[in-house]
Amino acid sequence: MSSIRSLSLRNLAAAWLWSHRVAAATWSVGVGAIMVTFAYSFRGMVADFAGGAAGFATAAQATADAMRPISGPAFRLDTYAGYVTYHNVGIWSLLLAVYASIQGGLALRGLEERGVLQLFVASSSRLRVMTARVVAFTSAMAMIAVGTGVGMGIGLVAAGEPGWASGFVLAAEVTLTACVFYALALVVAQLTRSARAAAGTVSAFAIASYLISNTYDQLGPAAGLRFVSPFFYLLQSRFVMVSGHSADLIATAVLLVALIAPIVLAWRLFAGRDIDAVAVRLPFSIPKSDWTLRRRRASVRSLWIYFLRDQWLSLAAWVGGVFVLEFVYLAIFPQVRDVWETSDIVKVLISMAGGETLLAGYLSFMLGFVAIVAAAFSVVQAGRWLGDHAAGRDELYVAGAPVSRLRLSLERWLALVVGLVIISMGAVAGLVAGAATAGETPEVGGVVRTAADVVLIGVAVGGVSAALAIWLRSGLALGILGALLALSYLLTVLRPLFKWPEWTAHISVFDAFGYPYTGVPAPLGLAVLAVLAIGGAVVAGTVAVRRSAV
Amino acid sequence: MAASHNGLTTAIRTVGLTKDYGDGHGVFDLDLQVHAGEVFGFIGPNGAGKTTTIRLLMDLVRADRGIATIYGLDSRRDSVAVKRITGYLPGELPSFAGFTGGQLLELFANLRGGVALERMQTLADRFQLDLSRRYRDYSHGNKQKLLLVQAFMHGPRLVVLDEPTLGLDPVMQREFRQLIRETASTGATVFLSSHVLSEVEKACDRIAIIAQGRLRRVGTMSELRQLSVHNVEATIDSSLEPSRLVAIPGVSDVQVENHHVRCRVRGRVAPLLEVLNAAGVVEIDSQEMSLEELFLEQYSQPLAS
Repeated sequence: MSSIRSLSLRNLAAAWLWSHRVAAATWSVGVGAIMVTFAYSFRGMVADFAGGAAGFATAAQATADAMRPISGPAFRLDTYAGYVTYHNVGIWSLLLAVYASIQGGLALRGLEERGVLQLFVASSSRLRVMTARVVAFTSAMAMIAVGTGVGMGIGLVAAGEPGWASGFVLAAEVTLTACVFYALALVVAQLTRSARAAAGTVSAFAIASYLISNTYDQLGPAAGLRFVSPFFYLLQSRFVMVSGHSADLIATAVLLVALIAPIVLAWRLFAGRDIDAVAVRLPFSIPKSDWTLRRRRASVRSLWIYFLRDQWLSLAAWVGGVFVLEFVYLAIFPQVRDVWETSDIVKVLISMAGGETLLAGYLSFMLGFVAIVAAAFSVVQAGRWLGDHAAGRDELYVAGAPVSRLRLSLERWLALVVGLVIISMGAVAGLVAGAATAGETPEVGGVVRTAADVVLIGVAVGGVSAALAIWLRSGLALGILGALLALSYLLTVLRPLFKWPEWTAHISVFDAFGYPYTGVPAPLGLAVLAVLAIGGAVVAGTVAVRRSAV
Repeated sequence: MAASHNGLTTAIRTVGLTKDYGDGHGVFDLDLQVHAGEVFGFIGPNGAGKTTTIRLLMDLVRADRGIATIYGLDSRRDSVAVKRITGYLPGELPSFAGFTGGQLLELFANLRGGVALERMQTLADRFQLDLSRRYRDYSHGNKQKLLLVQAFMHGPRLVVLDEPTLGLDPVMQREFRQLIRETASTGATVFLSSHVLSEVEKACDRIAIIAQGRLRRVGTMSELRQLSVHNVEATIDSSLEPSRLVAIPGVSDVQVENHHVRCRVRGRVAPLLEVLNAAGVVEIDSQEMSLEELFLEQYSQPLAS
């Protein structure tokens, strides 16, 4: 006799936890390794610095103060615990929050978009499905907390500092904060028709709340906004690794409430709504889209325009992001200039960036972040290409448009280049606006060179992305790309600290990017980027044309 | 230029077309000819190779060997030219976020060019399709209808449809059959796959049966009907040796118990009737197997090595 059994919570949670394995391992090992590496690099830096740890801390404090909107407050920079907290933990917590926001959006709405949620709720209860999703994600986050906690613990031991277990506490606080954003996205996804909209909304909130928690003391009457930022409560326990500090239990309790309450709300909304529908209807009706022969919209006649139009909202987010980034960097320049002129570290940075003046060096150094954004945009585009293939859209483009496989590759390439140009222009606009606010005048030639170089590095990474995406045809391509970019960036940071041979720098695309604001990048670097861009495009086009299936 | 044979223009021709996915999956040595203006049904069970054949014709997968031509154009070398004259409905419906049905049709109409929007609207009305709704909110049937409109909207010379009636209600299936008859009457060719014979039976001039990646039979509906099989049951008043029945051409599955005879006859029944008559037939009942049963039987036969 056979019996029909519903899917058990344990089986569902285990299956979904398995689906998080690559991400969990990447976060754990990647961040953990960075934490350990910084322990050794910190020791090296301090040992070489005139005045030792105290001298280093004094010099670094000015940089840290300037970087506060990005990295958060800095404290006890004469210790590994303080330095790594300032340098790494802030950005890590933000990136993890954005990742959690995306996962929260996908948790239920993503299953609905793929048409599989109804299969699960047909074989199990909604409560069980949602619980399994939450348990799987929070378990993955717990693994990340353990992995990074181990990294920070080893770092503390390597740096000869006490309290190795505090690394686990800090990692737990960071992952708890990220889980709050997961829960928020879970709620928002009950109100939006797409996972992407929920993820985008909560990611934007994560970025805004991060900036608010880092700068609330400069916000005047708006300082009270910090209380709605989960990062503010993380901030209360931020220095737990620094000797003599401990976690703020009240703030931790607030984070726990901020995690549980949205999950309960999400459950109520999910339980009461239709599958493939939103939980709350608007009190007014939006006119239906009016596709008629008489009232046609502006036509899209090329695939590359369609590809860009299809992602206009996320493209706007990319542009807005680089605009704000460059605007803030320039706007705060007058406030930090006086301090920086006395900082030895800044002098080192300026000499690295090749600037003759403080502003030139500062700009040259800060514009390097736009290169990272451009590279990340290219990797995200590779994700979209993989998505088009998986969703069967490629087949319809080729057969229904119709275009050749090569043309499809070229149209994507064109969309990538135009997207990068738009992002580059966004950075330039932010730079100009920030400079106007600060009363500074950037050098036109430097801005133009940087804008062009940003597009070039984006296209270079895009070349590698295209080749890997079309060759592997799986998310593994994105994992490899992310790892390559992370290593490439770390190489530029770690090489001077560990005094690795100079040739090792040339492996990095960010080294090839150079410092275009203060001068034309080295011909070798430009050649490397051009080879990656053209070579990648050629490989991608060739594979597309020759492979058996579209 | 399209090949011509016996005064008929060839719309689709494959010679030794092979795509081997291993473990017996794929399509093997497919020789097929579809004439212009024909409605051609391509039937077979799940995994028989229907979709692979269609994807080979559309150059969405590449053959290991053999050739496929569409109106004389090589499906691979002249891939884009083939698709310009072809309308295609994929077997698996793609997902598109953010577009209404109308916007999606307009996108493909603009990308393709030369599509009369009035025809697009007429087709949509015919399928009772609300183009103002978001594509992702469509039911499976409505998505299917939208992609059918996409396949027909540019007035193609050839329409290649993979399981076109999947998800359509009976009224829409009838509308679809009417549409393909109209399309064929303009001289265009329709190539459609299905695993439902009754559906193909109503719509197609000729049918090919594919199983396990190999073409098993091609013919008109009337030719296939000549292959009809009758299950015969008779009562006789004398004894009859089964060997006498087995010796009759076309007779199989013979069972003789007491005065009761059961057998199966493929083709003409007259020789069997003569033998039964000589044995003193008292009662006889004959039932013709439906094409559906015949179709299933066809698949159950092992392939000749």
